[in-house]
Amino acid sequence: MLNDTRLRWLILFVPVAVLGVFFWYGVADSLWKSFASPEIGLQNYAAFLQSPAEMAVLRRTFLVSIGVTAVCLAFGYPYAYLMTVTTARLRTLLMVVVLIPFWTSMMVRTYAWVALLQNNGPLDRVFKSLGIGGLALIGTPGAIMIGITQILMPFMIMSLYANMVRIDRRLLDAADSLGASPAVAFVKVFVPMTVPGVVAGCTLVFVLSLGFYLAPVLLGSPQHAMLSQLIVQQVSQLLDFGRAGAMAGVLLALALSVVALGAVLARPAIERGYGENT
Amino acid sequence: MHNPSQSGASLEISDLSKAYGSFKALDAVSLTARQGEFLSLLGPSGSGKTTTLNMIAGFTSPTSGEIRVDGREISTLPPYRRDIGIVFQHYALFPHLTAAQNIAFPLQRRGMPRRDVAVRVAEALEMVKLDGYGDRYPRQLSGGQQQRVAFARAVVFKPKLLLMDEPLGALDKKLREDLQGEIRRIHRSLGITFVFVTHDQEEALALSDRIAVFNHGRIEQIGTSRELYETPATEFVARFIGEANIFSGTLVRGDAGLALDTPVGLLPVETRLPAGRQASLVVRPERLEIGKAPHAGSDPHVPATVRDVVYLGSNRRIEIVFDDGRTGIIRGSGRGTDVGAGERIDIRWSIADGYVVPFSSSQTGDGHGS
Ligand SMILES: Nc1ncnc2c1ncn2[C@@H]1O[C@H](COP(=O)(O)OP(=O)(O)O)[C@@H](O)[C@H]1O
Ligand SMILES: [Mg+2]
Repeated sequence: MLNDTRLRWLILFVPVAVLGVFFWYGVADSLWKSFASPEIGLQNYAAFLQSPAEMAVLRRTFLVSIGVTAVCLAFGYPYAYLMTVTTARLRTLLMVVVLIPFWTSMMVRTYAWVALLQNNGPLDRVFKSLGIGGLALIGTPGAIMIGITQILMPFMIMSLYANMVRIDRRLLDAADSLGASPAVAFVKVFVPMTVPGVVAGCTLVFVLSLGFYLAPVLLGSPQHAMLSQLIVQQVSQLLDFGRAGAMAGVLLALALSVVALGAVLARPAIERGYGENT
Repeated sequence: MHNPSQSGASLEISDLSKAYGSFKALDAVSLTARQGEFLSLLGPSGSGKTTTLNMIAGFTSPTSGEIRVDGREISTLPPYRRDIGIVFQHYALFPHLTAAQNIAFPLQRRGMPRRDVAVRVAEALEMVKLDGYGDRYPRQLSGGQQQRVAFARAVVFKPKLLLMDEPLGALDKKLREDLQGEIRRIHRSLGITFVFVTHDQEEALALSDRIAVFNHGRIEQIGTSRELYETPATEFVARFIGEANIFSGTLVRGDAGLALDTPVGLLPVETRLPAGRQASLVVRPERLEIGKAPHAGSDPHVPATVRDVVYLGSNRRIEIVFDDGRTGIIRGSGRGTDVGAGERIDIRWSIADGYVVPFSSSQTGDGHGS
């Protein structure tokens, strides 16, 4: 039989090699260019950080991602909770409803939003018919948020569900026996124990939405651009790989900081035995 | 600090039943626990002990029957209004709270001022000998320590009734025995009523004032350890509590009085059951005497073959096989027990040491539940 450790290394090697060539190489290359193109130095970062227009885009990207994360959490939390307390049949249904969008192309789903949110589209007409003025969201950060939220919601729900389903319900009985009404038990026992799921879901959704490209392009507008659009513009139109690299570098740093923050926040839970790694 | 005579509640359960579909998990169970009593619910796994406890606690609603605490019907109250302490088998400590915060939880729910909470928590930690461990999270405590925290948390708000569901089930033997001693000590000092679920008859015998023996969702007998051991109501109880030699047959009236006609012979008995009834005779292992030759007097006696002898220090446990192939046990010390495997012996007992129970066809003889 093959040596166990060697087999494991072999199995690990293939994906690591593929990732290394196709993914990490790209990341490393653009980071390298951010410091070295056209010449060695920090001028690409300086230019980016000193441009008010580009900073506004960075700020918008950050705020839209925060908004998407908040909306995903606000809807995903009760949804995931419902999944853990309902009957097996309804749970399956709720699960399928979450997963169906995964079987539909992201492009199709985003175009569907374009149709729904456009000028004189269904939403706009409903608002107009109510006599409270039109609501054509297309081209606004609101539309971008809706598009991204719809695509990332399953990630939030799955992260929360994975956490909630593992919480020992006897703990809620215990709280009950100790004098906590169901509402108090929920707030004092259940919610604190879902911190690991909340942190995981928020980190995932926030980081993924930072780099979203399709939804901003189709649902947003040049006046409300997101950073990913700016990067593409630098690369494809201005051919400024250094500047694009610097933007990607800042985005990456932001994403990594959020991941690090998440790790710090989830750490007590892991140490106390109700986090991810238990 | 406590006034033991006033701090325990009485518990009365009448005709309590729980059905899951057509399956009766609990079938018309009635029992009472007196104020301050230590009552154990003992029975094999699946006999309905947890179901009973969960209905007292309010986690399960009865199909029918009544539960009264201090005379007050509580079946309709939600658990958090019942003011009953519960110790769960797997502790159910809140992992995100320290030991002290866990113990403070029921006090905070009752709106106790912060200062008083701190004092009470410190007292409770001291009571379970965990002073200095208040800042630890459950994860950082051993199984026995977690059980102590769970215990402190369940009594810190001074409930009048404490329910425990196999609280020592997950611990090793040595630790169980230590904690049994402490549970008894705390029961005496708090004076509250304890309802203690276990499938371990030794544990029940060691701790309880009285024991209710459960089997198949019914109570076979309620009594003191001694009553259950010496005068079991059913063959099931006789087998479940301690060890027993059991002979089954029909009661017949002979020249010398009533006797039980069994496959191993006619055994004289004393009982109020009438002749003609099917019955079982229970003789405890320590009541048997060993003779090398058949007994000549009027005492009941049976020939047997020694199968194995186990030396247990102060006494010996001798496994025997009767001539009908059934096995028996003798416990004793001294010269009479000096026998070896394979040896033919004659065992006898005084007629008063045999106890007759009515034969029951529903007898399962599960023995010691798991
Ligand atoms: N929720 C339930 N649904 C169906 N059957 C149950 C349920 N809870 C318990 N039972 C059954 O009721 C019987 C008694 O269970 P339980 O009270 O837990 O026994 P014990 O605590 O004495 O081991 C068992 O046969 C068990 O399988
Ligand atoms: Mg049980």
